[in-house]
Amino acid sequence: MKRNKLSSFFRKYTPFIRSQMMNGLAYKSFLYTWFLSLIISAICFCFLWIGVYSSKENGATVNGFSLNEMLFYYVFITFTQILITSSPSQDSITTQVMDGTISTQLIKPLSYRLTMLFMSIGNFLSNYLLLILPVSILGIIIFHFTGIFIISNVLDFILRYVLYILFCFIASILYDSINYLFGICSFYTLADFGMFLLKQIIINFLSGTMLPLSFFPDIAKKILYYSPFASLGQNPLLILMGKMDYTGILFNFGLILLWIVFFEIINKLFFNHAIKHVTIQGG
Amino acid sequence: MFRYIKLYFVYLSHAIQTHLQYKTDALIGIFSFIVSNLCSFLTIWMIVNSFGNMGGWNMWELGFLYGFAMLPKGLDHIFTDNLWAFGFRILVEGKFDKYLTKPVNPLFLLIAEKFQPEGFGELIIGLVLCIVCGLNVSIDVTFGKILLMIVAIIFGALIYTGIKLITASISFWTKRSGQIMSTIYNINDFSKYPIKIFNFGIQIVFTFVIPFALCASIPAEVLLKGTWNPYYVSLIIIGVSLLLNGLGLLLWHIGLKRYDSTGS
Repeated sequence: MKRNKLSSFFRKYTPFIRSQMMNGLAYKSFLYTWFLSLIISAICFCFLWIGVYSSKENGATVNGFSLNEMLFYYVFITFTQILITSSPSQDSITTQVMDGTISTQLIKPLSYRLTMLFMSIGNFLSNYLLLILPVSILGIIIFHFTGIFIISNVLDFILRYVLYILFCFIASILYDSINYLFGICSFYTLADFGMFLLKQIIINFLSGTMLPLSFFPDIAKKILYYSPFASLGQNPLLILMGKMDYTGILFNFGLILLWIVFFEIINKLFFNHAIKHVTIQGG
Repeated sequence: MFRYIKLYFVYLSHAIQTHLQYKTDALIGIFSFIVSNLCSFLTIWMIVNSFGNMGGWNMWELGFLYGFAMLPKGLDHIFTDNLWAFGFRILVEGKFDKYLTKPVNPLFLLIAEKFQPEGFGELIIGLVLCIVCGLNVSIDVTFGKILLMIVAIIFGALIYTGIKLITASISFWTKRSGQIMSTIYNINDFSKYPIKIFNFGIQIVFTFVIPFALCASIPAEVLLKGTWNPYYVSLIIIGVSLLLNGLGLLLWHIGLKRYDSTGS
């Protein structure tokens, strides 16, 4: 009986994973141009860092990063960013509110939240398979053979890579929860491209995507360490780079799950309130 | 010519009225603009804090450069923002036909239609940063340097416009070029850093290929460090900006000739 329920649950929602993956495949040029834009900026940053580090002697570390590690960090943070921050929730919800299709979504016998979540999972999978899997392996090989990031223990590195992808996956769910929250805001505000931008900027800054958090002032570092932001950018990367020990990894996996639960509770409460305010535009 | 000037002001007043209709949107826009600049300024500050300086520049000098970089960008932002809409939406949604049915130059119409007062935010913050930081660095003011500043702001803005026009015109072939536009445009972020920090190859790229360095980091280098002759640099800025806009107009006209509507 219980098993039947579970399988019917998956039968209901797995099509959203599939459809989103097909969508990703159909619009893969969008993904590739996004990647191109990020990687060009990352390469410019690498040249900037080469210049900045030239005032130090060779091999010096600043805030725990040597120049080589910094180059690796900036290239791989783009991959991390694409994996984590590609959730379509906010965009979908806002579009649905604006063109009125939200009404047909809400009368379906499906959970709106879960629909969005499974779409986001589909997006993660298609981004990983279509782009990040090949380019991350290529990147690791290039970095290894140019001597910038040398892998000494292959088995250990493979384990770290798997943990990195797993962490990115969980972080993408956290990001999706936050996205969903911002999406529901459009029930009140109706249109919010500005909000979308604002959220992106704040997350980029506080997650260490613009600059590793170890450069931040001490108090900010302590707060961000426990905040949900660090998981959305630098934490998975620190796992991959071997800059986080296993207790740290375990702690961060626990922390991120707690944050997901926190945001889901907020979402639930907020959605119940917002649903009474939804305005159907056209339809 | 006179007719176009008159028309521009008519469109300007329409554009301002449309803009004022969406007050919350405008407020959120201004707020996110402030936050975004705060974040990138803090990033520079934290790097300088950890390294002591950046390519030999102290924080006041970097602040001056940051402020200066906002001036041409803001100026371009105010007037030619509709090119973004062209690259992302107008052509692919079939809305471009409307511009062709009117007895004025379609490019003029496109640009006159939108007015982006958020650009004033950039101008104001940029000026304040320039003045506050400029008072804390030693600049020996000469006529050449003042001339260079004015040239860099006005023709620097034209460099932005030229790059946007070239990349937006690609839409005539690809239907949508917003992605390419923003990829190239985003490189302007690196004009906020001293040009000498990059290696020679990148310096050449930022000066002559995607010449955002001419808008800020090269003029600032001349103003603060006196590296190059201000008159020559002014000439290069003017030359490059005219060349870019010429190329942009050429591409626009070739594209316009082969344009057929996408329908809607």
